[in-house]
Amino acid sequence: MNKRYLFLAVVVVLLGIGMLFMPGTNDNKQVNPELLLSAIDDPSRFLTTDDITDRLVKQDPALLLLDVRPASEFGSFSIPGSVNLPVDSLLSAPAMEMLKQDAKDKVFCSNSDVTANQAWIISKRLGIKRIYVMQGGINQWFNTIVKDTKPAESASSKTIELYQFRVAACQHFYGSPEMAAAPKTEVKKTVTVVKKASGAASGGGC
Amino acid sequence: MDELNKTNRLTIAVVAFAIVIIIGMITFRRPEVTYKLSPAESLALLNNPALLVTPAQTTSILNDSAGKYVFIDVRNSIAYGKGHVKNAINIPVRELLSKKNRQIFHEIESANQTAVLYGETQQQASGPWLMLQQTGFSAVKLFTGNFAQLNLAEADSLTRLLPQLSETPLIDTAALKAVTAPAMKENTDNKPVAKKSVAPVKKEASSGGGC
Repeated sequence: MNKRYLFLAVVVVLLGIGMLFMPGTNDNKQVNPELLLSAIDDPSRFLTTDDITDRLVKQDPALLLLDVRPASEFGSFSIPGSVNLPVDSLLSAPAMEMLKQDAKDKVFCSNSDVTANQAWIISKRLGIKRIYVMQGGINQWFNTIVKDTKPAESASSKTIELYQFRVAACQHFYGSPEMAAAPKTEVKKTVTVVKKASGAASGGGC
Repeated sequence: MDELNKTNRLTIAVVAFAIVIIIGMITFRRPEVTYKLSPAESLALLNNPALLVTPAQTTSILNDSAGKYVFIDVRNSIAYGKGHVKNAINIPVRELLSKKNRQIFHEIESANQTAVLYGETQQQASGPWLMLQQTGFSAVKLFTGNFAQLNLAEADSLTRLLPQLSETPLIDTAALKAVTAPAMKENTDNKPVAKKSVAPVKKEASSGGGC
């Protein structure tokens, strides 16, 4: 009887030791390559520049527009309201903190959408949720929102509506003769400078 | 009697336990496709010019009869049917990591060839390219242009283009100035009340100092 107990105990212990040497998978937290590939094939991650602009104008608190270009390019031109996150520092701790905010829609953008898309793939692999790519990138944004050409009079009402929306959005970001002030901080700065200058001029007049 | 029952039950339990574990071990399979590069390593691959093929370089590749390069068309089979690079292999994005296609990439690698991925746009091919790199196929390059730029006749005129074609900033500074300039000149605002209240204070202060 005693022998039998001993034998059973040995069997169970051996099984336990055997399980220790089971082949482990160390990338459980990462999205498996096949799932990631089907996510890459799914175009639903692409948001149009008009969509993004609409949300920027409405100051959607859930939108986080991430500019993955190097800081120098970000400095020379950036979409008002975007945050610079150079692609080289995508995996740094502060960047991860930013990306792991589950309540926000993180939208990657670069000059075109190639680098933004690659940043999206690596973030997706790490299991980050609610991430998107701005279709066409900053070049496209500039050409549609800032530099849009007026449609012909005969164009459909939808086209004209879209054009009017873009013009209004552009005025929102950069101001216009009718509306000098815009809510973005960068623009605010330039406006106060102008006012100071006009004040100084009137002072000189006295 | 009671003691015997207990031992029998224990034996059955242990044997059942052992069978479950052994079946588990036999049927356990490692995932066929795994990442060979860490996220940081894959990130370092981006924008590496050695892994890109510019439209200008395709001229020599297309004329090269030595067969050092194999073109992979990642568009769908309909687009491929309408037209594709000579001798290109069609591997739509979704089927990229299937057993058959991984075999193709293994053969390319063992023959010391390099695969060049192209799609309708660079963006379409960049995802599959990154996936192949991450899963351990290093002899894969990315074509940095659109499908239209792959035509032999067109490739010649593309020599002057930058390596990473579509990531070139195209911001028209003149147009930007044209848009931002009017805001500097005129100050007739009609919307934000808060800012209005700020501006007059400054005006008063400066004009007071002038007098």
